Amino acid sequence: MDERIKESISALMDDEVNELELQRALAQLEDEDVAEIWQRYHLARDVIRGESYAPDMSASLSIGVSQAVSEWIEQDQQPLKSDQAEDNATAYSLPRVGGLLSLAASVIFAVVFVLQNHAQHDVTFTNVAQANDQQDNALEVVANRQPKIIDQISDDQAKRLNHYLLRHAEHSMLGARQGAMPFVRVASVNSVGI
Amino acid sequence: MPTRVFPYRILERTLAKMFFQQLVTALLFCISAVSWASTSHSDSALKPSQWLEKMQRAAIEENYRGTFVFSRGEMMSSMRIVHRYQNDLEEERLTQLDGEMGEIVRRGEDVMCVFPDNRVVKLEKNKVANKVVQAFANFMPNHAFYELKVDGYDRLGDRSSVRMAVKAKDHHRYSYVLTLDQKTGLLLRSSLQNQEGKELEHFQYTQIDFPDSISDAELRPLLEGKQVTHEMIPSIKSDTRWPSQTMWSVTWTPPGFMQVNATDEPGDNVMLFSDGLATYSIFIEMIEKDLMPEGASMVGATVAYAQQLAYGDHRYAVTVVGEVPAMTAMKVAESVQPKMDQ
Repeated sequence: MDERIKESISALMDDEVNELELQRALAQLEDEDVAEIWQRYHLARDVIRGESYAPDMSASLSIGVSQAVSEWIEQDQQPLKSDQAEDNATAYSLPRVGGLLSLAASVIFAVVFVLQNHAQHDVTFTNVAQANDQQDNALEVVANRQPKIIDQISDDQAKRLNHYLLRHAEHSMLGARQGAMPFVRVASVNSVGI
Repeated sequence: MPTRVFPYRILERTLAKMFFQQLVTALLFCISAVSWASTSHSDSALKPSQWLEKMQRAAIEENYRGTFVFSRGEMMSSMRIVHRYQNDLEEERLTQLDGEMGEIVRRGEDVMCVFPDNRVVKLEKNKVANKVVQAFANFMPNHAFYELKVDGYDRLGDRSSVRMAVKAKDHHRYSYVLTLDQKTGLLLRSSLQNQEGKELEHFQYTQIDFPDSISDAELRPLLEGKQVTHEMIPSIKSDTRWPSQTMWSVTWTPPGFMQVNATDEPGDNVMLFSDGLATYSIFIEMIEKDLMPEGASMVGATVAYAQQLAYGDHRYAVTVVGEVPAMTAMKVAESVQPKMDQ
């Protein structure tokens, strides 16, 4: 195998690849040897980080990921995550944002990894969306993303939360879907008060 | 002595009379039964979507007062409600019956929270109410995303009721079991469940009646003769540091949801989405202290997902609040971005 390809894959994982190298890597990923290298590098990274990925074997990916990523790279409007978001590494575990390239790499990984493991059933993803949300599957699968659940907030944050709940109840009332339910929810909140 | 003839004729007349009376009674009974059956049958002939329309109308147009329990997780509370619709004006008073008695009083779109310490808190008027599209009121859940069916008939609170199953077809929304009053369509009981079938929220009337009229006194909060303090909750302010023509958009919306308010002016920073049953609000504001921590804060079936994002040199805070799964709220929050080119 061309050593340059291995170096490209390694650089891609470290967010140190330029656009030319990325395009080269994309073109090569259909090669089974290259795909295997990709998989091994990611497994090694996962072991070091203590993370695990579990793809859902029932999910099917039919999107042209490489093409989609290439097009995405040409755009320059994707919001970046804040520093605070990057520090929240417990359950909100998107790849570290080194730019669009990191996300592109992760999407490519999803396709290759799932396709490689589909017959082997070595690992299984958890919490992957249903087969009718295939485009969403790509991003969710690769990062094993789960929303971080907040279990403690300060009194001032609780007050702010109540304001949001009250505003949302006001909005829901406008549609008159379930009568007083929106305000029942607000009234039942036992907190420091609005 | 002549043989006394058994009074057959009297017996005949008596039996005939009895028979006739019983026949009339039976006929009357049959007529009543047929009438009841035809009434029930006509109600039962309503499609699930028609029941939902009836439910929506009843919530607005019926006079009712009752007591109900509301539970989410381990928490349970009981409340009393009085609702009046008169001269095209909807008024409502919700009173907590557990612990210290707080109230929420609504008159049209004006909402007031009354606390036991005589504090009255109101919501500052915002543009959202004025820019809600008319379609929101008529927007019914789509069969593509919910399976609607009438599950059965029973009695609840001494009232005939119809039970409806509203099952989510994907994981972007929750499922419901709704029990409606058969006569008025008012929601008498509601169970909201996640995809695993776990109940996140339960609402049920323990007593309800539908009076022809409701007095003003029943809708007044318990503040008569008391010294009160007034507070105003400000509307969610937009960040004026953005370029003046900045508007907001979302690049991902769960299937079946649509925006139901117009955000067609620069600075419009509150978006409202609905799928005809579930609703979520998106609040976009500047980053300041005491913002919610990033992640999902769950309050029963309601999630408040907070996310801080950056666009170039600008940073902003997005909070998605609604009765949708946390994952749905998270994906929506992450997709909010400014539109600079007009």
